[in-house]
Amino acid sequence: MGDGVCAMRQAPGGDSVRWEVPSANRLAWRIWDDEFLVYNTASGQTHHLNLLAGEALRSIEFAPAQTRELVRRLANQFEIAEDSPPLQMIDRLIHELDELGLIAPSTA
Amino acid sequence: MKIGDLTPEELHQRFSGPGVRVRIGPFLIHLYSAIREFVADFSFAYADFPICEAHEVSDFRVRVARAGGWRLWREKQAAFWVDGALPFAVFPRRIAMPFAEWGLNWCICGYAHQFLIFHSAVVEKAGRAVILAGPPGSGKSTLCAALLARGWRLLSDEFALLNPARGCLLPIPRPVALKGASIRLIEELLPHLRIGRVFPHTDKGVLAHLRPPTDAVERQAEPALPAWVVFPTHAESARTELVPLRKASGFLRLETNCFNYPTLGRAAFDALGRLIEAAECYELPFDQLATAAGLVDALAELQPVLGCPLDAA
Amino acid sequence: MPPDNLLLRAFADPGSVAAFGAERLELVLSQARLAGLGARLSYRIEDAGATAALPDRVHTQFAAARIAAESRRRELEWEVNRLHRTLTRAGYPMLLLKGAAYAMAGLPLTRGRTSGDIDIMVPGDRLDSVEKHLLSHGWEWVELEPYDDRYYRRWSHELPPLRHRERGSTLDVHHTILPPRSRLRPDPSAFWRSAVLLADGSMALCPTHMALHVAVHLFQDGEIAGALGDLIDFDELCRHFGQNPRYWQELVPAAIELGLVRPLYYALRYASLLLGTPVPEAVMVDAARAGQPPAAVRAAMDPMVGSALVPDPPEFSSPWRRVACLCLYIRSHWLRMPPLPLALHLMRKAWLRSFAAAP
Repeated sequence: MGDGVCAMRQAPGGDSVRWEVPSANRLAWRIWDDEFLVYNTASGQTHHLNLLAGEALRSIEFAPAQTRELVRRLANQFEIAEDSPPLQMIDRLIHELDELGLIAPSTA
Repeated sequence: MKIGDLTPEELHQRFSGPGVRVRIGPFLIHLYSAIREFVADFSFAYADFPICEAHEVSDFRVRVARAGGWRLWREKQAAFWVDGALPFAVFPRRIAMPFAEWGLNWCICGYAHQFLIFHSAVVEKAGRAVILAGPPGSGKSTLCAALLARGWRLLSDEFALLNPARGCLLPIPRPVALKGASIRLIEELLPHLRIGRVFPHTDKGVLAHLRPPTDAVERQAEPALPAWVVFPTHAESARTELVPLRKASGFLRLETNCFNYPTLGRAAFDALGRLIEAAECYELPFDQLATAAGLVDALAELQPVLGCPLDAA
Repeated sequence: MPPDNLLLRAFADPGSVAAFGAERLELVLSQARLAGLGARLSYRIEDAGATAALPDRVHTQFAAARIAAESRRRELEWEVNRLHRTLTRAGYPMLLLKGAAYAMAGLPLTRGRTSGDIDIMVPGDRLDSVEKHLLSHGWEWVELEPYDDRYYRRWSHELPPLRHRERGSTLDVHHTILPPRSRLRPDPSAFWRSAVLLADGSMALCPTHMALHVAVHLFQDGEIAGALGDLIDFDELCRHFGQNPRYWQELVPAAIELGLVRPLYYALRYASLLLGTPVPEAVMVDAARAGQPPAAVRAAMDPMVGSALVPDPPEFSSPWRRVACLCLYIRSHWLRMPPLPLALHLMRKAWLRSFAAAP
């Protein structure tokens, strides 16, 4: 990211935050094999996401979730353990998606 | 009525007086100039382009005029005006033609947002087009010329104009800018096509304009659907081959090649997505031009011709 | 009154464009494009029902201009979104000004606007701390000549402009709407007291203050030359808010309270004369009584303003227009700074300019 340091910052509010895709984002998707391209109407930016990031964002878009819930959903979907290496990076992924403006803390 | 139908005196009278409205691809350019030398260069390169006699509103009002300035004592200057303003600084009058071409590029890239505009050459065979996308120096212009020699129709050497809603490419078959060594190369490849005056000492070295094939200009209202996207990279001793690209890579690389992708927003994302979905994407590293052109040419034979008639955009 | 001007006429009477021949249509479209007003003109013409009478090629140009304007609006809204995230989350009150406010308030005048920078206002006592906070969240100073930098800090009412390192957007942070050392000094707390809350949680000036801000920017603060877009903003704000009689009742009293009645008088006068803004007679009379300059000044201003507002294509620029612009430039700086510092400022700028241009 911009500051050059990808620290594992805690998302604001810690584990109790529910993440959602703001309705203004009106995401548009193009999926080819395991590569995701997503367009954020609010920011005008196009993002290239890998399989895990793409599925995580789709999942949050479908229904808002806390981090723990998201991990559970993805573990089910990919049939892997919740503590497997890819899912250990979920905090960092959430942080990046938040920084990019793709997701935001739910106001509900 | 074409530009080439007028005598030099008639051309000078019109350009220096009421101006001339020229149809260049989908655009109508109202061009004024009192500089005889420039009018001659322009009229040579654009000889086959139609003039609009009627008083039709143009897309751009452009003037190439004499300019004063402190460099006047060294050599005569000229200026490129569009909408009554100067997009760039004055330049030597003797190289007005290349600057006017760059000026037209500036107009199109800056304002023609009815299209998604790529920095690419486009050629077509049997109703299907290949987009040759790449930065300057990638070899796309010479590859484009080599394909013309193999019977492909020129849509554009410089800009791919994509109609976002209909997904078709609109021709804008302007003179091809040849630099340095490629002038000699193209002379050999396309001996039947005329090359204009050579301009030494421009910012980009030696430069000349290849007059586009008459057929390409006559068919400049005929769009084409993109079937292939090729990213050429010319390099000494590279192995010349067509390397298939994953769709997502094709999308992202073509996006970086696009002038106004952010401006068109969602429409750009959708249009580019549809284009990549329908087209085959390749990288083409090449050392030998003839081999590279042969590979691209062969693409048109491999896939069956669909034969759908295309209505004009 | 002002010499005939196609672009002004097109805005004042958009229906008349249908009767323009090809030559004049080309000219007015050129002028509009040069002034960044192409999209706005297209909406005016559409509202007047005159679009169908124009050639297809013009429709295409309008569509392209609207696409560019829409892109700017999207960038603006996203920038406000990101600023919210940075400033409001950290507890800084932030009030949007001009284009950003119009967009977030969903005002009709947003259609086709292509403003560049974002302007915000923060409380004067938080200015330093806001500056530090922004610098540590991705903003950096736009490089200025050291001389201009000092001018900004000492005389102006803004931080020097900031640019976001990644997004490339530009931000102007104000603490009031006029320079503290200028001859007029409205109290900024009045703006905060009447501020309105918008749907997305940002704040904006109330309608009368919004209009006064444009008037002040046009006739006191900024440079009049080439500011047709601002006068159109004023015209459209009056047409929109003026549907509520309270707006007209409060306008002159608010101006008097803030000491801004002279610029309001000019704005009302020139908007109604040049653009046909429907200003109620009573309001015009009140503004004149409270803020009219001496007849001699009025006589001098009238012809200058009309011709200076619209950028003539330099191809066709008249010597008259150059003189008008120069007089108005000097006037606007005179209003910003007391006479002696102004003379010094203009001298230094002229010296710097000639120094830089030497071969």
